[in-house]
Amino acid sequence: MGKKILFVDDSASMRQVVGIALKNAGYDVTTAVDGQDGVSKLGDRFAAIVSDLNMPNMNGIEMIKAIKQDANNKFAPIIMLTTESSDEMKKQGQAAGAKVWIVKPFKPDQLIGVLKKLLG
Amino acid sequence: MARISDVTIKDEQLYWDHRFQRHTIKLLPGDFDVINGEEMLVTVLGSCIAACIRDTQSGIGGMNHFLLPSENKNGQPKNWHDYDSEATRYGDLAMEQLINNIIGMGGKRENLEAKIFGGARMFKTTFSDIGGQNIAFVKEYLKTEKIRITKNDTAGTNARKVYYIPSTGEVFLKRITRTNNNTIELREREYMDEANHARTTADISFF
Repeated sequence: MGKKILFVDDSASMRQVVGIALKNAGYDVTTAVDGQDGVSKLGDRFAAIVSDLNMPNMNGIEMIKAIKQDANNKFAPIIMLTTESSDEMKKQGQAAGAKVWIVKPFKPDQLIGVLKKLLG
Repeated sequence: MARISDVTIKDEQLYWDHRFQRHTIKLLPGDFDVINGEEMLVTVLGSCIAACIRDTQSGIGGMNHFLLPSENKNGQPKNWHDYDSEATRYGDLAMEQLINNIIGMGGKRENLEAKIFGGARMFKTTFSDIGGQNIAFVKEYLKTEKIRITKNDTAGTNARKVYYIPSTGEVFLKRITRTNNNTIELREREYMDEANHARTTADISFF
């Protein structure tokens, strides 16, 4: 079984596209529909967490803060995958504990490249 | 950076519509906007698609106006159905930005409804059905997102002018059967050239 990745995005299309790409690259993917759902999956220990920023219920930044409090997952690098490109938001993400910020549109290969770099 | 992701509506796109007695925002190809008031959105479509999406409870909603890039660098047609094709990435972005902004302003995903327009066979100079590809894409996207389509006026050979009032969900549609010039086609052509060269790969920052 491949490394476990948590992918959090409120868009079903994104979950589908990224889910297929990560699976094809040999990762074991768990998906969540928003920050709250993501936090509820933290019983598992993930190698890395990939997340959208703007989501209902709990947004990406709040979720990162919760992950950093989680004993199982506080070491997992967090990759933000978002349409948001402002330096202000990137700074907020970095301060909360994000490791990488990817601005959409992106190629699934680019995300996999980042994961290989972080977990290789 | 793709034009679609850094759109700002310019002053000259805002006007008072005398007939509808409303502040109105005129969207051009590649634009999108979301409003939470009584204002109206208007756009003119040829092969392009406009998705009008709103939260039926709060009335927060908006419209986009986009076209999938149809050719790769060698002028070969792109296949949008390939899950990670450039065309799909571009279309996904146009839809996601609209939906994200509606949710960002307080809309709820489960309350969203969509009305879709456009996708006419406009370009007399090409044989490929660009409009048809765009229609297929937007329908598939909304199906995946489980957003119901409550109005669908697409395809055909006429351009359309679409007025949309998100607060009420009303749409007024004018079919443009004759034009004195080919402004619509030229504008869409220009936009498609831009889309064909738009950035579809990510900016990545490591902290």
